Amino acid sequence: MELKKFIKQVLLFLLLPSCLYISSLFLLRQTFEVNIENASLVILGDSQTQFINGKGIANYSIAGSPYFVHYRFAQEFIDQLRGKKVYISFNYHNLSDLYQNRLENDKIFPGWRNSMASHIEEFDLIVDNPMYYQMEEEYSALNMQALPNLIGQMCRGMISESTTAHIMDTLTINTTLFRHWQNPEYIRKDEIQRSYLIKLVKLLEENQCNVTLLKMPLTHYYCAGVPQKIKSEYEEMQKCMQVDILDLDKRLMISKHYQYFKDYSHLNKYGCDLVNYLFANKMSKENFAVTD
Amino acid sequence: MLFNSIDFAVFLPIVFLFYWLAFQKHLRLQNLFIVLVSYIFYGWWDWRFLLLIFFSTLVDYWVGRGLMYSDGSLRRRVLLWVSLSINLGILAFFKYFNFFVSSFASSFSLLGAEIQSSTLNIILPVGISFYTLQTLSYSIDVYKRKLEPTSDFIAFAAFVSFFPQLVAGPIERASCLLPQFYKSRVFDREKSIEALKLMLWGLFKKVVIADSCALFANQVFGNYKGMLGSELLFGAICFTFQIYCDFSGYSDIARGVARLFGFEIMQNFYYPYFSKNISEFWRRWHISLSSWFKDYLYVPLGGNRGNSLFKIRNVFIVFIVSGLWHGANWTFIVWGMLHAVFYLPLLLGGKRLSKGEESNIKNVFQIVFTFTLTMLSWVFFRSESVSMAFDYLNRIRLAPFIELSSFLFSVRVIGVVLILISFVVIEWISQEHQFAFEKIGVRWKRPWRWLMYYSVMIIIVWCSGNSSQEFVYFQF
Repeated sequence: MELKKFIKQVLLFLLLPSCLYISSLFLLRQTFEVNIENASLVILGDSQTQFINGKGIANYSIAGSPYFVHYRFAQEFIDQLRGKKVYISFNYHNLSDLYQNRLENDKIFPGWRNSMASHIEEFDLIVDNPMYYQMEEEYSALNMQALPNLIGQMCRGMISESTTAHIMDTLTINTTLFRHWQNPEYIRKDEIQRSYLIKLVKLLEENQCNVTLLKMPLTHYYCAGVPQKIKSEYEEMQKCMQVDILDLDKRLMISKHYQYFKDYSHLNKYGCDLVNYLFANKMSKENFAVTD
Repeated sequence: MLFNSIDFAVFLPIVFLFYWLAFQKHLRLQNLFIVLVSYIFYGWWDWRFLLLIFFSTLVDYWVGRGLMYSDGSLRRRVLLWVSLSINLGILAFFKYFNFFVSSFASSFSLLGAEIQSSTLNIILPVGISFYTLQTLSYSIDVYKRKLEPTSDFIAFAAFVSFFPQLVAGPIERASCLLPQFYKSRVFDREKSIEALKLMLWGLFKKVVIADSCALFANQVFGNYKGMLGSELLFGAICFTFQIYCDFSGYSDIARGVARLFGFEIMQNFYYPYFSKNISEFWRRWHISLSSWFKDYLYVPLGGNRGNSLFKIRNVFIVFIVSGLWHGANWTFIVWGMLHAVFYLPLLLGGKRLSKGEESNIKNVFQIVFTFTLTMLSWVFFRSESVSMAFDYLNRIRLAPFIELSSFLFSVRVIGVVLILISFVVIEWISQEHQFAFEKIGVRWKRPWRWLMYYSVMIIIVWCSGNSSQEFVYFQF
């Protein structure tokens, strides 16, 4: 009798938040999908593009994100993305070996793999792809973070870059150059990054999306340190995919103006304002996806 | 299986329902069921080490039986030594082999002789330090005739492997936990509701406070050379709260889960950071371990008897062994020695019992002073090497008095600071109770009370997105 009463009480207690959770998740998910549908531009970016916001822009940028996360996102929301302009972050560091090496050896950057796994199907309560990208150990069928993730994603546009400090020395850039291109712990050649970029572009083009690669500004010192081989590969990949590129590096010409950067590639408040101003201006015009 | 995982959230209700609905009328079946689910719980991490627990269980059961049938002191002593050497031998091999080999080699190299040391690639079985002490307490108590040896193997196996406290304690004494397996358990709704509250509070401490602090502690300790003094101090404070909330959170969940199954296990933490001296701290911190060392090491060594030198020796031995129990690294040994040093003035001055109950300025000063001492020792506990700990503390010492960085004013840091302040206030006003959450809202009407529980649950779900950390004490 006591036990039955206890079970009833617990079930009753859990029923209310469960219903509330599921209905909120459903409603927010619908709103999120409508937001993508209503947007004229979708950005699939990384930490460099997180700050971009404005009317008509749906920004799905994840810090340190590899393309397989974007690919999964595109698969999930392909109906909403169909026929849209899609900007994909594409820069030298996206071709660094760090992605595949971090993915296969968690010790290189503890927690990164786990964090990336959490972005796969991050807006779904039930995650149905346990074998995805060999991340079985991080797999959890029930994703209680779906609702916080959705709320976080929808609030992202409200937060703008507030750092006014700018990079003062080249030492930190050297550290980044080492991390991206010279780390002796990287023994794997990065294939996953390249192959998923191609798959992502193909998927979007098959669904009548107007794909443009977005190259954000980099500091001149960093650019000079990028291996020539990577620069050539970058050009090659761009040609091979036959997609437009919007080179903000060239457009803004700020790579030598370090007062716009907080580190090797991330813009501070002033740099972000420049980019957002450019986007706002361009968004008001019809032909935004200008090829450089 | 982690308490803060979805796996456990599915495992627990299934086990709970089977336990009460299918086996309530059969005590032996219920105990057997506990053994089975405890082995599943442990095997979820690595099933191979189940053999180790089973072997340890067999040995101590056999030793207990042997002690029951032997009166001769020599035979009894041999049996006790069998238990001690097998249990401590397993622990020494898995936990300390590499440490002793490398320390041995490096001590020779200090003398100028180079020795080639070959270490083994050994995985430390989760919880081995906890269940080893638990089974040892059984053998020692039976040897000292303080406890009747059990003839019920299933009850004994359930005592050794009882899943709520198997991997990170509390280290239960056989005399407290084992008899609970002999008596039939009756479901108590009120106690079960209390248990759920205890689990919720434990989960809150772990997920919201410990994991949030862990993010900053890891960041600061991982890059301490590039950090300012104020940031290093913040990192040390974060780790001080991380380790407390992590471990006491685990203990609360363990107690709550045990209570759901009709068992009472001991309180492991009693607001330790409000201690007025180190002696009081050790009566409030990891109580099951400190009382274990007191009863099975400090007292047999002579305890407080004898002259001052003798007492000092005993205190140092206990704290050094306690440090070594935590891990095979010199940092833990230095951590233990530091606590011994902090303890000495009280031991020699004879002021071990704190005086004065009211919260006056002197008490607050004593609390802050003791907190600072423990925080200082945690730097050694968290550091990768003793030299790193000294370097870390030195950087704080040499830093300008006011040296604030933008890092300390970021939204996330301010958020964590606010959470910590709220937590300390809640703990302070709840000191009379077993756990801080125990009496909050009990007089409120149900909708308000539930609303409070829902809010806590929402915060937990929200914060579980911070890359979730394993329980710190799992590594011990």
